[in-house]
Amino acid sequence: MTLVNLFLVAMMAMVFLLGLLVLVIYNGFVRSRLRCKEAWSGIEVQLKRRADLVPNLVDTVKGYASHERQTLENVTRARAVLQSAQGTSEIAGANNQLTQALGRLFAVVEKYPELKASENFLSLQVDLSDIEEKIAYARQFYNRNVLDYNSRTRVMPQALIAGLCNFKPMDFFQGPETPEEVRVKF
Amino acid sequence: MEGSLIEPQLVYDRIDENRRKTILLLCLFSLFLLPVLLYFSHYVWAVLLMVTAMRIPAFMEAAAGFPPSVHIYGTLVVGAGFAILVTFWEFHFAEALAVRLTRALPLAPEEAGGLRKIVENLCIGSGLPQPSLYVMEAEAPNAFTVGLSPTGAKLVVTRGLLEALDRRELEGVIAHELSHIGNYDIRLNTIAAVMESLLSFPSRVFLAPFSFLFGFNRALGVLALIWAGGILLVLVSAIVSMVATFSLRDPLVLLLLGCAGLVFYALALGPLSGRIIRLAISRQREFLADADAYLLTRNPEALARALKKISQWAGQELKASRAMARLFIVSPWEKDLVGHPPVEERIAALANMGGGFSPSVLEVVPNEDHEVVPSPSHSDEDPAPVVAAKERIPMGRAIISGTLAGTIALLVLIVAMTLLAALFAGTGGQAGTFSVGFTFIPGVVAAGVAAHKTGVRGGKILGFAIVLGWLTCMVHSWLVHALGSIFVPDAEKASLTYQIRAYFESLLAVVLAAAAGAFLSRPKVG
Repeated sequence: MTLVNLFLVAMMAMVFLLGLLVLVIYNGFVRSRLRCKEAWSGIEVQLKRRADLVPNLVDTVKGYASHERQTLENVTRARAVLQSAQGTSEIAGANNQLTQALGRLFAVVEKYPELKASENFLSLQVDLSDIEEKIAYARQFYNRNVLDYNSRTRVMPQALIAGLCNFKPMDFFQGPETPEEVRVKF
Repeated sequence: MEGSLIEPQLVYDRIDENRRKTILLLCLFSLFLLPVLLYFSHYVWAVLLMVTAMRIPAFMEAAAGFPPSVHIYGTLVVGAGFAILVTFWEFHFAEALAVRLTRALPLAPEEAGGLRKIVENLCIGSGLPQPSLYVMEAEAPNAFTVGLSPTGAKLVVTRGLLEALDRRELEGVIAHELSHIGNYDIRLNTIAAVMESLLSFPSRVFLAPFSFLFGFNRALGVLALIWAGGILLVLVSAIVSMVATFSLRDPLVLLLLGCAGLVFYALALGPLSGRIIRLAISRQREFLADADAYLLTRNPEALARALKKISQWAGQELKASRAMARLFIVSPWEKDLVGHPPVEERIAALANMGGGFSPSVLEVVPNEDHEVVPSPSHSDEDPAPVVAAKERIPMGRAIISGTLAGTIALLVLIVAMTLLAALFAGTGGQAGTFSVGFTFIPGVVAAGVAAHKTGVRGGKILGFAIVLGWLTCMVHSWLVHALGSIFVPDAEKASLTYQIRAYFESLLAVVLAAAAGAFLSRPKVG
């Protein structure tokens, strides 16, 4: 085989391998993004479950503590904001607002012993704390996947492909200021 | 973003490192495995041919004319067939029996709602499908998982675990087990088990009669082992000394050496390295599962407390076979032989993750009935007194003491023999001053003292030390042959250089005896 032929074959092999590499990287991106999307839908499932719970809770509290209108309205409003929020950061912010409003509601409930003792309220409380924990875990899972995806967009050979094919980094789902707040005892 | 980006990075780095190490260990495994497999299958192939040839005379003539390629293919087929058989056995039967053997029952739907919720939440957090839950009726807390892939995995906890741990600690343990599932650790360990079976197969076949004798009577087994080992070492020494006198370019010598080397590898070195690699893999995966559990729960303190509580029960109640023991989260035996890292090390690793916590927070004070009473771990204003953990035995010191004792014994012996030789002057020769048997007593003394320093007490030392002393003789004799000292003519033996050289050879053997004594008798901490 002449030198020129050898050179041509080598060039072709290199081009082929490069193409293969690009393909593998691109597929990695697609898969990673899909996993992020799936993790996001996991969060949405939990958020919806909580949203379904809140009106029930508000009604139960209203029955015993009708004076606490302001607190109850805050909760209802926060829920409405969450329903209409779009995009990761908006939803994350609205979620934190709702968590805080609920926290204040439960602080207020301390003043009403009959409410605290009522079976309805107790079961709602248990459900709500479980859902909050599930939201926390779902959020954690989502953030892990987003971390993986974002690292890909920044690390060197992959970053080029990201730029070419327009894979932009995604937002993390921000939690409340201190993680401890999420695991608060409702 | 929860926490800074720096802190999770450390854990992720550790996880990456663990994964790299695992791959490296697997490659090492395959590398070690290949010669043994080839040796074994070649042997079997030769035996098959011979047996067939003896039965069918016509075959004998045909077999003589086989081209080399037939032999090669035959060997490969035998090897592949054997590997497939062992793999099939390990994958499908060995672990499937595990759950049945422990008589674990599926968790009733109305039972242990707390556990169910924990599993459900953690599965959301890790993106894994939910495993089926089983309960084992045992008081000792422990847990394990079986299952070659996340779908169809089974998680077994003991009744004692549900009772002894609080919610956060239980979360930590379940997170650890789920991490095992998610990392396909069961599958990895099964592969490692297969490889180890393949590696040790020839040696197990050869050692089967000895293990029978061991089971029958321990002393008899030891004697048989020594006898066989002695013969093997003499053989090796003979070969080595042949090499020393003949030219290494003689192809027959090379061939003999190669065969001997391969046999030694297949019977001794291979299985040993297989065991070591497999233990290393298990260890890595345990640390990895701890790190992943941290990532899942972000609460290393709870897992550390749980590990501490579970390890208090080591050696009690949970009867587990060897295959089972390696699956548990903390080894159910006091002396761990199946690859769990010591609990102290795991807690120390966890203490460094995330914000970290001070290990003194983990005081758990057991009382007489093995009830564990956790001291309050969240009260900063009243730190509980530190319970002194069992101190690590300084191995270096044990080895040094052993060496010193052995050296003194050696010197005493030399002086004694010299005196005797002087008394009976005229009997000629050096009266065997540095004969190989001389290192027996110093070896016994060295190993015995080293073992004593690591805490072994009583009659066990004597038997242990005697065996090691004998092995020291063997090693010494090998050294002497290897270094060519045996071929020194008598006249030269009187020279000072020879004396010094001989002394250092025996000293080396004594040091090895002390090191072996310390190492083999050390207690497993934790």
